[in-house]
Amino acid sequence: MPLVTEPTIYNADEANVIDQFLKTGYIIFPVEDLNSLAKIRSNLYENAVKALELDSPPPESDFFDNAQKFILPEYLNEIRLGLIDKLNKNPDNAALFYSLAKNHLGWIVGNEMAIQRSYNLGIQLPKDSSSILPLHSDVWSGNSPYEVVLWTSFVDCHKTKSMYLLPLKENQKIISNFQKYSSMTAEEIFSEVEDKVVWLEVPYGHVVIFWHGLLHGNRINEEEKSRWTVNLRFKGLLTPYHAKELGEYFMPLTIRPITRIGYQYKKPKI
Amino acid sequence: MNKNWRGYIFSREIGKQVVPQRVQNLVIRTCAERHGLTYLLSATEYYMDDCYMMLKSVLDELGQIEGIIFYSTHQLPSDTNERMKIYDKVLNSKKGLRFALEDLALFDEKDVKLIEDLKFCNELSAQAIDLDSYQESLN
Ligand SMILES: [Fe+2]
Repeated sequence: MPLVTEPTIYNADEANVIDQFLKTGYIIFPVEDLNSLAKIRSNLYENAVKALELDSPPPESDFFDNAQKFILPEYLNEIRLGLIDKLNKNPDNAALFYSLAKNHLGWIVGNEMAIQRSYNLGIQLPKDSSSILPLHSDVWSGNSPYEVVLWTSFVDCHKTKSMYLLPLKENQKIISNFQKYSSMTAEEIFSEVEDKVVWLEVPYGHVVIFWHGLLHGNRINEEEKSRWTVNLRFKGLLTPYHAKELGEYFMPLTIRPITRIGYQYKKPKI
Repeated sequence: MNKNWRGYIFSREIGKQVVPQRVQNLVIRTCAERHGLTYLLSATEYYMDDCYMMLKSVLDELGQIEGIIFYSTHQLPSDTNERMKIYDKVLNSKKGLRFALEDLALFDEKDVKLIEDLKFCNELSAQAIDLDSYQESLN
């Protein structure tokens, strides 16, 4: 039974996406602009090849999956931070990432949005224990619940090469029964929910939008290839902010004309 | 070129929070270092509500400095006309403002527009009811 009951308000695509998001708290879909994804990926490739000072770099199509052959684990973080700096300094990136999911973000978040100012690049080399992200919810540590993450992958992701999350219904059970979990470590909570989490299957060319109030994380990448992903948050511009503020952590992405006219309006004086 | 930037900190709440002056100064110092600027000892605004006396005297000093580093955009006056006067004065003297916490700078009209957008959107979003209050209102 679909949760969206007003078919006259939403078109079919929109209603499907809304329905799925309300049920699970996430959605995986093909990017809306494949050229933008290719552009982001080739910028990333060029910067990575430069940073690694590779004499005979592999072609872009082989590089990301096989990054473990070119990056020593002890330099991984330095390389990663250098690449994040490059992502942050490229003024085209906001528009490029937005174009990957413009409609979906509009349907799930709204058409006046704020975008996170910095891009979080994750590189998970096979068997590398330094990049584990223990189970957590971003809302427990300063993000407001009015935000989603756009999770963009530059390789095919599956099983432990990917990330896991706990779908909305199961997640609500944990939250409403939080007392039971409050003295557990992240690892202990993970073992409690391990059989209910979903490992996201995300082929290259697809992205994920998920609510970061869902419990999520990743484990050691037990697959043979490396994962490269960027996560980036979006929220309704005028929705409540928590410790991640507008101006400091978020920037306005879209402000519609009537909001501008509205906020500049001055009550006539008699 | 003169690279002297004057810090500007508060002794009253900033965006509903009291931030220790030492913390405000640390954030300003880090901002100055990041941009290769000389940080001049901060002017400390008086604690009275809506008082900008110290800011006015720093603005009078603009001839000798490159600009002012605020701890945060939340220190700007809430009155739009007052803010516009400040921007005009800074831009007419071809100087700048920086906001250390947000790592933002104001050097031209485009920057004014962004800072003003932030100011208004912050105000509007603060009026949006948050989840906790909403749930309490249901009880
Ligand atoms: Fe997270």
